[in-house]
Amino acid sequence: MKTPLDKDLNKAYEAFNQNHNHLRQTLMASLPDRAEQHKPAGRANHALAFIGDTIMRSRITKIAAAAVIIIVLMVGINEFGGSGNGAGVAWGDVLENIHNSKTLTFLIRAEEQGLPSMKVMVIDPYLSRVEFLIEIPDSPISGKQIRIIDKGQGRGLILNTVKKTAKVCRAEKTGVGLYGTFRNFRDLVDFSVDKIGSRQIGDKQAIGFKLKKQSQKEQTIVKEEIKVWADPETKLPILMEATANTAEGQIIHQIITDIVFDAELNESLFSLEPPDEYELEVFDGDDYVNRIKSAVNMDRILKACREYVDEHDGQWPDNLQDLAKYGVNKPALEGYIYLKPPASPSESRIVLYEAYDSWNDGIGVGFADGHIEFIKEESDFKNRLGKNQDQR
Amino acid sequence: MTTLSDKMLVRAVLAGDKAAYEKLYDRYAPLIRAVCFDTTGNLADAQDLAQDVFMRAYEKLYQLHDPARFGKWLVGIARRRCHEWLRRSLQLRDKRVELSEVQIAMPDPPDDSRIEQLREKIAMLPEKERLALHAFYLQGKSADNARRIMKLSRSGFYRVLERARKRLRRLLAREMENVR
Repeated sequence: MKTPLDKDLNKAYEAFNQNHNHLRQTLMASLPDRAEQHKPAGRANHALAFIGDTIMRSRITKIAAAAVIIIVLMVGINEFGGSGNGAGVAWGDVLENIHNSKTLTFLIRAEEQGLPSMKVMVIDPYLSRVEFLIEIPDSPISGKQIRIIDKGQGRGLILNTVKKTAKVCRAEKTGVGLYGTFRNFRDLVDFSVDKIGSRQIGDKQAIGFKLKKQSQKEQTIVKEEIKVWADPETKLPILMEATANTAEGQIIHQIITDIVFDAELNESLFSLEPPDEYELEVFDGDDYVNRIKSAVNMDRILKACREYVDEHDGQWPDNLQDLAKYGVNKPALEGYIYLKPPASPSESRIVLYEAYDSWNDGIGVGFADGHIEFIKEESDFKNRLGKNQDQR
Repeated sequence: MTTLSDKMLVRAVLAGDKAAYEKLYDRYAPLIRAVCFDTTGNLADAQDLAQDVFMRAYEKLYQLHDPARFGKWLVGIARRRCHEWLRRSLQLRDKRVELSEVQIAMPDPPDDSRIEQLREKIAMLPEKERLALHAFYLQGKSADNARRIMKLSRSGFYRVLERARKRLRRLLAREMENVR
């Protein structure tokens, strides 16, 4: 049953569909046959764009800019980007070369955060290997650790070189996304890009690009900034500096160096067979995978509940079987306890949780506002469950 | 039937497939008309503005960094276009007053008064709540589609939608009291 308000809203919004077909035809007839393409500009155009970005923002330099642009057009170089080669390097060239490479190795450091440096090796599209050193005096975990992931097979291997142990784990069957590094290299198209001139790195006069991206994770605005310094000859990055804030308000600063594309990498480095001298440990990854699967399932159930509420005057279903109409079938409902809340319940009211006989590591719990938490302590869960009585 | 994502459609348009733009139009035109209606207050102007928004979006499509965010980007263009429209309307109104030639805008065809009242009240809601209602009721009541346009989490979106409905109920109830 729909609420009167819901019905009226449906009707109110119908108006915006009026004459839709006619309006579509009119629009389509007036559009050019082809949407304008972003044509890669030639050398002089790049220089123009760069100079435009850099200079035109300042009123004082606006007048001088015209003269500079003419010089740039005549001699084909710009004084602001360093060498003549550099002026011709466009972000599109760098990105294309990244996309065309098959292997990648680099070092990543985040020293300010006290994190270990990592050596990363990637073979496109599925294999990755990360080596890092943990240095804690007198700690049994000090030493080199190696993590190998094969996303094609959906498996991984974690080697502890100190304890000589190996754990086999599962991995998501997607392209390489380890620490977001190689993936970030490939997804940099999402960022806005500005040229930032040139800088001497080793014997190279590297060309700089600043990439900025802003996104929202839950309630936090995450700002990411990456400075990419590219070799003007190979048009590939040789140094990257990345800064991002976390949801907890921490600023993460990472430096990626020793970047080598298309290096020859021996595939045995990516073998998922534990070395002979290593003892194979039982991995608790299945629990983790099941936990994620259950959370996804609970999310579907809660979403269906919200749809039910929308169509039933704010009332929640009497039991989960009522959700069949909303695409949630019986197998998905098994193993959960549903607690029907009153209409317009408090956001923190527990409405769904995983049934359990004995408490292990924790259970998934769904709340009236649609969010799901994994609660580790039984006392915490019971405490929050008890609050259901005191709130709507 | 497979529903093509915004990302795929945008890429198809940029590759020269004009028909893909029709699909994007079908998906978003009602929402954009609703956003424009918030400014214009009449349907005919809202329809005109929405057409202009789609025209501009087509011309600037290559500037869209993330094709998956076409919906949000389009709403941004609509907002800017509405500001321009409003500025121009105010200038024209001032001119008309100077010339003492007050023109009366042609009203929209008569509508159910209750529905008309509801639209008026929607226009009084804060922008975020208004967009949540528009997006939800014009995107097939799919919270997933609607929340993407607003860049909100699912629970965050439901919170805004619930707030919008509550405020709307209050506004309507107050109106009823005034009538009595």
